[in-house]
Amino acid sequence: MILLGFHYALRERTRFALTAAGVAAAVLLTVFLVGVYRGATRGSLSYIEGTGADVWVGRRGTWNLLRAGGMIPVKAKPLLEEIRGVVSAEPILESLLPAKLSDGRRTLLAIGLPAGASLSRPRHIEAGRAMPRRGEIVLDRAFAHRAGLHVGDRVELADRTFRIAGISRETNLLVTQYAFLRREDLESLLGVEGQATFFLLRVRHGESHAVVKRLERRSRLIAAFDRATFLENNHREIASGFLPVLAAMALIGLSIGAAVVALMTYTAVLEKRGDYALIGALGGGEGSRFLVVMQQSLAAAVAGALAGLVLLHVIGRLLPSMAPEVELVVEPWVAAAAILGALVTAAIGALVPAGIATSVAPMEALRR
Amino acid sequence: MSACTLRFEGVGKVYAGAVSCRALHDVSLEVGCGTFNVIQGPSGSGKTTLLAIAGGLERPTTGRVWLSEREITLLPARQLLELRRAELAFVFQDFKLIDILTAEENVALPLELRGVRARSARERSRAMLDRLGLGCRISRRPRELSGGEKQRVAIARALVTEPRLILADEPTANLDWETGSEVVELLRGATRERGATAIVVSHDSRLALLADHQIGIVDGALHRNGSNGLPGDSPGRMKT
Repeated sequence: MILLGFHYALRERTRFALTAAGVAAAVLLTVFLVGVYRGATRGSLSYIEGTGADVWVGRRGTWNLLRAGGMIPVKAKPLLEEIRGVVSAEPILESLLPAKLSDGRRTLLAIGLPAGASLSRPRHIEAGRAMPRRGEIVLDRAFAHRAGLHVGDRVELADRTFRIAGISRETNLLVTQYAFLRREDLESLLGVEGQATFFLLRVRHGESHAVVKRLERRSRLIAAFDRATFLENNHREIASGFLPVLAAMALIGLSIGAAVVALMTYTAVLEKRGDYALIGALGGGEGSRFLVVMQQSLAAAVAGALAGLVLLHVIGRLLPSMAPEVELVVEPWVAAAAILGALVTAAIGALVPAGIATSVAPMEALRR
Repeated sequence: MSACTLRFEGVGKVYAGAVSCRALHDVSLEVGCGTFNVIQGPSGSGKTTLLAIAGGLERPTTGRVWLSEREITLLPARQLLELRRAELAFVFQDFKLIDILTAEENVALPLELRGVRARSARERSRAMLDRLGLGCRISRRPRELSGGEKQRVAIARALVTEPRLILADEPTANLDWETGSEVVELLRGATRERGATAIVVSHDSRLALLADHQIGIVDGALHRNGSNGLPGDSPGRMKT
């Protein structure tokens, strides 16, 4: 196979670097946004997954953890546990509350845990304890890092001061973070008593669906979801706010990448028009000339995509100190998709220049 | 007609446009195998057009052209390309080397375009450059070579595919006399050693002295006075 295109790409370094930089910027922008989205999704879902609850029960109209509507009395606990298939029920209270920091107020998603909570406590603890005592709080690490707080420090939540008992991980939702305190403390802050936002149920193996049906038959005032459905609901909640912006930005990024590749490849073809005529005169068909242009474009795309991913890695290392609430999660498949996307973008960007190269008449090689 | 004979029969070429331009008119010509032929004529006389039609780069407006017993004027583009790959090679006035490639890579290029594996193409390229006295220049880029060396690389590129017909457009125009003579000798050598046919377009009157046959062309028509005393049965018909 003729490799002339790769020679052009690698030996015309300035053009190659500029093209690769355009692709790198597009890949960086797109994968960064995907990474932020995946990070926020993980923060939202990791807590729910970590609880191990088989069924989530909330007030009717509630369909995910972030948009809880209404409360259920805690005294409903024995009623829930009476339902066939239910092993245990654990009530939690949830509310968005402002935390006072030196540079202003930030909103936390406060989860009030019952004494002896087994399901609802945070699973990933970076420092301290997972279960707070009365007057204590467990903060997400991004929030704690941003505020410069550590275990043992004090933080003001809704005008009450709490001692920090632990720092949790995978509890960052980007726009807010989870905070865990005792349900009694949260009730006191909210001015309610004996109320829960959700009940987390453990059920006998394989009975989640059946329990959900029984719960819905038992009361019209509650909504019940098996774990998979509840996870999906929360995922949709995050996605509904994020994906349109992500899709628009990714489209813009990829369009810019394609435009840069198209422009740089186009100028390269115009500049080397004589070479394409020569290739034709030497026996190169349209396919060979098409391939030469594509090779230049694809080489820049691969280099740009890899450079973009390396830059992203560097940014990912800097983010915890610069913007701790922005958590990047870039799985290998996302990186692979970015490289593939860059290749497709570059191929699209090179179509017009390749068309020009193939249309150059070999006869031009004889003209002076 | 032998395998590497080139024959033009009543060939004309008109370039259409706002003002149409007649480049060739009723050219009939037969060039024999293993001969070194020089086409001479003033600028704009149709020399390059004749060369382009012989090489399958242009199609005549009228007339027919045969190469190796095949009428190339009837061939579809794909088969014409195959024919160019199999039997033809070009040498250009301004060398037309690709400036980012080394001498070795430039010579290997037509082989790679013919699907020869890169390693094999490089080996054949090195061998050809070595034969042409450029063994120590294989990794030089064109800008690092003298004019004579560039043209020798271009000739190596033409010869490496072992063509039966070599078409050269003013190959000595940018060279001094001595270097030009070396280049001509290389082309003549190719015709002698390989039995290839060479058609060289040139302004250089001294080159005509080295030719087996001289073909004159004026205003798109063959000119008897330009022939090297060779038989022609009419002003527009010539046999070499």
